[in-house]
Amino acid sequence: MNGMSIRTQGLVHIYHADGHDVAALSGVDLDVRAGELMGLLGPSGSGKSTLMSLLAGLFRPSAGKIFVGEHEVSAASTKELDQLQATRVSLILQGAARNLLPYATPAANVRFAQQAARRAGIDLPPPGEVLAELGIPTVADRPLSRLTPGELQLVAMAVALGTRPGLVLADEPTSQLDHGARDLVLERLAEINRTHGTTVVLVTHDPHVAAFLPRTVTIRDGRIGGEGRSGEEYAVVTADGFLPLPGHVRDDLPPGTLVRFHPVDGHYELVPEREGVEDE
Amino acid sequence: MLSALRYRAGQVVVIALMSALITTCAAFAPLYDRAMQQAAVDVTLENAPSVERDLQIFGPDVNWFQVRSDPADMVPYVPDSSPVFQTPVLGHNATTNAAFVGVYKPVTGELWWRAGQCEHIEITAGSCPDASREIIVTEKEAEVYDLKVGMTVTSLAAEPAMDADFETPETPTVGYEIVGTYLPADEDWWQGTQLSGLAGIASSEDAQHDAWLTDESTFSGDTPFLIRERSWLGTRLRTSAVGVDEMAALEADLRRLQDRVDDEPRQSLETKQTVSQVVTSLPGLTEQVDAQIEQSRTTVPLLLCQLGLLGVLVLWLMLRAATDQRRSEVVVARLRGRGTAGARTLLMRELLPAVLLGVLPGVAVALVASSLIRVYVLPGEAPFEVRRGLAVAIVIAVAALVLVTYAAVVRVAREPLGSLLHRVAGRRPGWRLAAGDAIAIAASGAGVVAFVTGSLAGPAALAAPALLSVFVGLTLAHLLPPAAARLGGTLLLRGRLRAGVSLLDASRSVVTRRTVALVTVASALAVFSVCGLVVGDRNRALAAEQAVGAPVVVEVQSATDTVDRLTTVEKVLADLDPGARRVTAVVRTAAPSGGVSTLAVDPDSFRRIALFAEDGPSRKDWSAISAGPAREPVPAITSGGPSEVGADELRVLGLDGIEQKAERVATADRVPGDGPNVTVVDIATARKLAEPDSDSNVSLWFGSDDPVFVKLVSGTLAHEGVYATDTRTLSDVRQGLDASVAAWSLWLGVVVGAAAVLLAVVALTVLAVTGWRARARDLAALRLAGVGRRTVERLPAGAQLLPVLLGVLAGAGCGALGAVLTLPDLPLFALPPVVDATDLSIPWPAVALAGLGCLAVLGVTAVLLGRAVAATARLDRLRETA
Repeated sequence: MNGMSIRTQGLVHIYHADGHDVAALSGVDLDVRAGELMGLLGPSGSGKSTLMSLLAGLFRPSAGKIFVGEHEVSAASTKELDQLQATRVSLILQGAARNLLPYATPAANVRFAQQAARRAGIDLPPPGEVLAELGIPTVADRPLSRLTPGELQLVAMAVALGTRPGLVLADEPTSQLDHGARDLVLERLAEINRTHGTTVVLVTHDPHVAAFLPRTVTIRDGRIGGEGRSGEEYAVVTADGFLPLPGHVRDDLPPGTLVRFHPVDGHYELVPEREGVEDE
Repeated sequence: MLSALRYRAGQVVVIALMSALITTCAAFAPLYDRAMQQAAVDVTLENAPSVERDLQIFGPDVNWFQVRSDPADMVPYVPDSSPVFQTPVLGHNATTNAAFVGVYKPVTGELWWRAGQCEHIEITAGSCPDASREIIVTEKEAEVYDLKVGMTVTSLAAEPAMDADFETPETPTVGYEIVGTYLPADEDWWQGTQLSGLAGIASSEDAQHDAWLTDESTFSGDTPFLIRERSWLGTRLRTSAVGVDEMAALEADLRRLQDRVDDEPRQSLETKQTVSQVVTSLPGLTEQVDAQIEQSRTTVPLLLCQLGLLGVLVLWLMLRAATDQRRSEVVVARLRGRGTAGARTLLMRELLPAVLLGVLPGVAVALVASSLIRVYVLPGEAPFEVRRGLAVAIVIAVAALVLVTYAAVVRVAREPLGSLLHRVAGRRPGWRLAAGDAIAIAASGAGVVAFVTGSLAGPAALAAPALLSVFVGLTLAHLLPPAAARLGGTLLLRGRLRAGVSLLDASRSVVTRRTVALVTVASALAVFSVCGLVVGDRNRALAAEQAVGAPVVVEVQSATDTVDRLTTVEKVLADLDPGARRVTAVVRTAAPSGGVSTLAVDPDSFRRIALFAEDGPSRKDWSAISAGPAREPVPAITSGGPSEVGADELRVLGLDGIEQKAERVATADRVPGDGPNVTVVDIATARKLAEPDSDSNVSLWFGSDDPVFVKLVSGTLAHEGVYATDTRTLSDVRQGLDASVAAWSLWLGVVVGAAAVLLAVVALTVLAVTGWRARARDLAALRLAGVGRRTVERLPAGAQLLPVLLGVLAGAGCGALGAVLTLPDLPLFALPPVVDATDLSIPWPAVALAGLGCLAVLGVTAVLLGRAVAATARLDRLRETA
């Protein structure tokens, strides 16, 4: 099994902006099994991209722990992180071009991405084979400027997958693509996930993409706000016992509302205390 | 790598051009320096009289050892560096003391034999002497003394040695038969020795004849020993074969030879009987060249070093922009686990070749430019040379280029990945002093303080303009934004939208700070260079005027005494120039031991013709010394220190060389054409007290360099028996001063000034290109906020103009102040002039002109760049993310 699991414990990340501290993540506990294909959902500014960056080791969390496979990413040295990024963890940034050397061909880009892993003695497939896996063998030596947006995204994925990573983190890989290209990209990701057992975590806003994924985790206000599995939406109880309410329920239960949990036939009812109820 | 270079080919070309410019500066310095040194050698040798630059070796007087020596024995004494000398000419010298019919004084002169002599004269009558005691005389002498071919002239031989009875036998005589007459020719071959021009010139004791040439056999056989008879060897320098290195080797050889000849106690008898005197001024000439080389070592590297540093600064800005543009590529490398080292390698592999691409063209440009200057600008025939200095300069330039590239690359490669993911580098808001700026301000400020307090002097003082401008530029760069913000806010409150927003725009842009600093440094260099050039030019003009005294000065001589000569001169001048406006006669009397000389002049015409400084004697002063009664004290204008007798009484030389009492009516800082200590008197008054004697010289001072008029006067005087012996023109002397390393070094200032402005233009362009996107978004936001299109279009130009204007003003001030601090240390002359006429005042019109030039070029650049940025300020820019 090639895939790598992910486990975060009480993950907190605080930004310093304009003299103020802003909590981007406030205690995220997340478990992803090795070989899983999942999506991170959430509104803009909810913290999903921050979570993605922390998982990739781009920066260190303010508090909490991150484990990717057996590696504690949150405590890894720069050298260990470099090694991990060279061989096991690949991040695909939003916007395909940001993942590529603009002057190099697709094959040269894949080769460039593979160099550090090859130097570490890892046997990797030739760039042509990687591109073929993604269904774009014919573009290997074509200038990037002559590729369609879909092809460009597939090349960006090829670059990320060229090192045969155990974890692929993709930030909005289908944004700015037409439906056909979007579906193709999703198919290829799913195929890689199936074929190589690679764990794939992707960030998306697109409901269509979310529906395609077997598991989604919604980040809201820096916390895990819910989880979807096979089309069903769930609230997730955190490690310290908190239960974030789903968005539509929050509209009905403003902050400060008192609620009771009533066990009813093997499940729980959530009963808000209405004003005047006690008086009755 | 090639694909990366091709991808941003335009940028690669610009970076390569900048690197080429820096390399050109570095490589040009040693090439130009060496070419100047070679030119200085050529000019020094060319200007030196043959007698100074060539080598003459004399044997001992035959009367000392009572034996004649063969001049061929002296050949081995010619130094080892003989390839620079031509084949030696052998000869004999002696002095005559002859009696001529009708001349009531002994007639003395030189009797010479030179091997091959008749091939280097023009025989006008008779033949070349080919037997003992046959002579050939000059045509002029034959005319002056009425000598004919076939005549015999008798001369005394040397006084014989005492005999055994301590009696001195009677001095024998020698009869010389005149076999021909000649005209001098081939002056070089004769090594500057004067063959003619002496016949007829008389002193109180004797008259002189021109050189008599005789056959070698005269100096052998039955001819008695002659007066001061000596063997002679002369060899001419192959000036074309002498460069700086040969000159140094030659100097060492000649000093060894001189020491050998001077060290009489240790000499063998053979040496004593072979060589007694070495005549050459080559070691002295070498010292002159060395002094000039020393000067070039001061000016050239420092001028080009300052320019090179500005170039490096601009390259740094370019590379910052280039590396910022490659942030996404660094991200790609870092995301794929290449680490900072991998990212660094990626950027270095792309940028270093671009930078190094400029090295070879830069060296080639330096070689071509120095060759063109060598061939077309510098005098002489300096050879093409590639020496170690060039290699060292190139290595230094390459090292600087690599270091700057590395620094720019490391800056981005080391940036945290999180911050690299922002497409544009983050900027720190507000007023902050970066550590690098603080160090630069502190260091340059310390340097400025050192200059002002005088603790930093010498060659390093030439860095004053650069240090001063760095200090002022950086300080302004940090003061301008908050000041502009405050003023902009005030103007906005008063409803002056465009000016207010322009100032606010300028205050928040990092480009403003960099622009003001760069423009200050570049303008300072340009203004300082122009100052140096103008001050050097002015001082060479002043020195030439002081050295010559008038546009043309002609010394005259005659066979008659000085009074007759002067009378003839005055008569001829009165005929040719009745108003005494074009030429005036001057009698100069100097004490034999030097000291204070006396110039007897016609005050009215001398005032008009002599090149006095503006603060020279007034018309009233000249009137005060004008012709008065024959009495002492003589009214005089003095310069320097005539000896004081009493409180108001001076003693000056009369025209007869005897001291007279004089009265100072005015003083002059300097009297043109003479030394530091001079007294000027009215010639009419002076002559009433004493007529000039034979030690007084008569010269003609012309008011303009009009060769036709000078020739007319000289020709008319020659007809009357008064001959021009020496002519000095202002333009010749000025040319001589211009042909010096000091002058050539300052000319380099023009190149430096122009290049500094060019670099500033490049820097402004780079800064504009770097920040155009953010500026365009800001401007688009203003348009969205309702600011009119025309106002928005004009804003960036206004925001760019402010730092340029301020920078040029500050730079011009720094350049002028730097010149004040530096000019006293700047070498202006190859040799210090006898009379110091130096004027180091700042040429304000030139400063203003240079400043306006900088403002015009940089201002137009700023406006064009501002308009280009404004043209990109479309509303859709607002959709671009930062």
